[in-house]
Amino acid sequence: MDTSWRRIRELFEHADALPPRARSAFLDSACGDDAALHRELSELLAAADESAGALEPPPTPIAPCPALHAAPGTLVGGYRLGHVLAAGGMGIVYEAEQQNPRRRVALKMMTLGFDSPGAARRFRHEAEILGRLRHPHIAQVFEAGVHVDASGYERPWFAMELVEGATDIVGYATQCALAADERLRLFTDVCDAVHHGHQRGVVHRDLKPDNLLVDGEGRVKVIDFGVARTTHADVARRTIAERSGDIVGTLRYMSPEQLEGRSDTIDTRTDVHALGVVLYELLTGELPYDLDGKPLFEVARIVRDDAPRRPSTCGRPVVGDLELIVLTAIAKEPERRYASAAALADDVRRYLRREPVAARPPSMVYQLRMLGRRHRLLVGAVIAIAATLVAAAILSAGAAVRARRAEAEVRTQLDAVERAERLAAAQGERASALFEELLELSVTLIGDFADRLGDGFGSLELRRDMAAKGVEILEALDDGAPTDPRVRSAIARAHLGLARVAGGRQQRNLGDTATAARSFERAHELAEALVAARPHDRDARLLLATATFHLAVLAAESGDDDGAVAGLRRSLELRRALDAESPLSPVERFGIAECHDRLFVLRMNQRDPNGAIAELEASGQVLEEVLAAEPGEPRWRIELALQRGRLGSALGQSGRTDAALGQFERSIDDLRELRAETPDAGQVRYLLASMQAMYGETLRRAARFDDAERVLRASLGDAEQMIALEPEAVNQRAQRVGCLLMLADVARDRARAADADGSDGPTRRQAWERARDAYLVAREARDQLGEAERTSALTARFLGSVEHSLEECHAALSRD
Amino acid sequence: MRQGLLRSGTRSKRMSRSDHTDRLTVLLRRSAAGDEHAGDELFRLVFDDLHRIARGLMRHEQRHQTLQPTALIGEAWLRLAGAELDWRDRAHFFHVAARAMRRAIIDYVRARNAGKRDAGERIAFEELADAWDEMPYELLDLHEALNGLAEVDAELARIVELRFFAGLSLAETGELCGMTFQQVHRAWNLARGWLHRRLRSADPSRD
Repeated sequence: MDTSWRRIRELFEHADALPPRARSAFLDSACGDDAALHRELSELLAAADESAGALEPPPTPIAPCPALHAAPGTLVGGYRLGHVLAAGGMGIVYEAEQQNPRRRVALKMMTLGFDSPGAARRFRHEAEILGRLRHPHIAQVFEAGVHVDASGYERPWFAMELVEGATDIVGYATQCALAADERLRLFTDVCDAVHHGHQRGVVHRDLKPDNLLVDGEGRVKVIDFGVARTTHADVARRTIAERSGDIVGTLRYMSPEQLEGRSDTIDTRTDVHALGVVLYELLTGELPYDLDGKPLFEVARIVRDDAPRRPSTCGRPVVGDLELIVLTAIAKEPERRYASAAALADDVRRYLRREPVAARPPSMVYQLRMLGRRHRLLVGAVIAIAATLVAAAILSAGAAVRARRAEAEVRTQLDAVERAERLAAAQGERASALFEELLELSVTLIGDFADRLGDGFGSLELRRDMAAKGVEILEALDDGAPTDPRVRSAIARAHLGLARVAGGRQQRNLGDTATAARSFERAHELAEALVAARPHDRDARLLLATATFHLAVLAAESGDDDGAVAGLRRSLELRRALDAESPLSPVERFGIAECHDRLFVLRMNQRDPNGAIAELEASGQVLEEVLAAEPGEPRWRIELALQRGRLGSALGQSGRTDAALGQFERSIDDLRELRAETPDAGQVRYLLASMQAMYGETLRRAARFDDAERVLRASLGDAEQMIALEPEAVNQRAQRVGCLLMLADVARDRARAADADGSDGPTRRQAWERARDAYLVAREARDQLGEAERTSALTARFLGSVEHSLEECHAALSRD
Repeated sequence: MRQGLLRSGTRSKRMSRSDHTDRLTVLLRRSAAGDEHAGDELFRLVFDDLHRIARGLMRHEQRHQTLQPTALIGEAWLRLAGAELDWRDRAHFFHVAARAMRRAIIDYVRARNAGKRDAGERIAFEELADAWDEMPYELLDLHEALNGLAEVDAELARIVELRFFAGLSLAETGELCGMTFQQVHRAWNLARGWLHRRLRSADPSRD
């Protein structure tokens, strides 16, 4: 653009903004002596005026439809048209009089014609289905047909029950100044009607207040059921084509899937969404999104990406359970909404009876994602951190190189968290609402995340550091908001995660028992306080059950069997109570199995195999339920394999060797299958190694020495491979020592057998020498273990016998 | 205990954008950053898609429905970019789409004038071109004049493309160009006046 043009454009735009009368005076003064400039501008201004309206994109009707209005008195089917009741994008509604039987009806003449013979057939078919919808709150469709107008144009019509004295539902509620509960009762009638349609396979697709009429006697009637579908492909396609104003009335109630034109995904939950928006409007008098004057693609984006305005922040705020109900109904993902209009109505009724509702607040991760869409820059960092952390945690379970790279990445991200914190703190001084929101979300995110670190895969030290960081951030925040239950609950969860990585006995850990005990206790204390303050808070109660469980496990480790049993029983009790109120999710239910499993271990230690087997049966049953709820889920398959292994050892100890071996074999097969599916999963390898060790031990007891040796060597190989991958993992090293020890036990048993069956002197001597050497190797390996590993009760119990066994070897050798 | 950062991670991965959209995003970014090669590929991608959509629209259900550029580009948008693109990407997409639409229409008109009427996709654009027949200018002349305008003021030419070939409203055009409604309104007046003066003039020396 050269300078002279830039000047022309500037002056043109200035002149163009002026009223025509003032332009010439402006040009005279602006151009001065420059006659050429003056002429150029005058020409352009004149040409612009002259061409006004030219170059407009062609306005297009959706379908050719020559005569839109039919004159009053026209006979359509057996109906004589009266005046127009309403006109919209899809059609015009007339009051009409039926000749026989004589009655007044509403006749809707559709705007859109048929585009194929198939469409006409479909129309008749669907009209028939609509005719079969009979419900006190659905305006009955009496008849449908096709009217050929004067220009020969075919137009489908419906004759429907006329709703006398009709007002739309929102207008009615406003006019009558209905109380919230009355509005809700009216709304449940609407839901029932919509559900009735759904049960007969009809999705309304265009629910909005205009289609929810209240008659003179205060009865609500849903009109236009399924009409959107009968004549044209779908609403979304229509909206893309249609740009007239009244479509906005429909857009406001549309779901993301409708706006994206994903007509294949439109189902009854699309109606649930529209019902939710109506409920929102009915209660708050506002709409969840500000869509006025927005271009279509912007509307689609907003409804898809932006979080709805929370009903609690509206001028007429709606809070608590009712807010949850509304937000659940208008969730963006269909699977987050109520599954049916009936479920929505049920929850509203529960609210009306002041009972706990089924709607749950969305997870923090979900909320953060939603917030992230709105304020990408501000929370982008936090999301990136979370995503990278998870990815890194998974990656680091794999090859060492990848792990190192991921670790470096995470370290960078941790620095970014610190920077983000400082940024957030700076914002906080200005006390912006955004900061509060961000803070709350970060808090919960960090808590969630740190909690999950406990059972994730990946480098233990990295996970410990991340969890510790989470705890540190949260404890620091707690000073600022001491009474906020969300912060407290986040802290408790972060402690749980940290404790589990540090020294949770359920899994691979760093053997830092002191840190684990401190964090479990802190989590337990926080959870107790939360439950005391809010006895019905489900999350808090689950938290308490979990913390109690882990403390019990620690008690068991330190030899306090009675304390452990009491804790496990308490945790079981808490979980069973929750399950009775509303069924636990598979993951939550799994907690019950875990309690039984630990009780099993305690019974075994108390040499009570029958009691142990009973606990295992209980946990096996729970696990089967869990796996049935999520078939094929590796986690539950792993747990079942474990449970078989435990059953195997219980059976072995009660002398039922064959049954025990069968359980181990099945368990090992299952684990091998899992290992083949997920070669990187450290946990499966670890379990497989343990299972093989237990199997080998049982084989040894059954005097099948060759089999025992083969199995134990395989287990040893696995443990060594694991150690190479992850040198700091305590359990693997203990595992290795255990294998060496069990191999020594096999050698000792062979020697004992040689003694028993009267083998010759050199043979016996050789056998005892082998056993002695094997114990020496095991002892050396044991002595290389760290302090934490040696003192852990598990290994201590198991390794103490080395000295004793060595003495036996020496005694045998000195005998000869 | 709430579960599943890990799990929800995998779920969102499963629902992630199609490869097509990923490619679109990459191309949009690169092209917006001035990568000509990416710009060409992007143009081809959008151009092909407009044809594919137009064909689809003609073949199915909508035979009696007059095609509208907005509908076409709206479809292309939803299909190509239904997933997450930010504002800048979107603006760039519409610029490219408007250019692709212009090219498709002009190709069609040239083929028609040359007596070539291949079946299939061209039929779709026939509808589109017919829709503009009430315009006071010949499409090809307008195309030429628009090239002239682009030399004088590329921004004005882009506005015309968005309005005329992509069928966007003034408000939408303004949003995509980062202009207020008043600004885009005046720019549009100037562009229209400029084109009108040129097209009205029979003097070819002004080209």
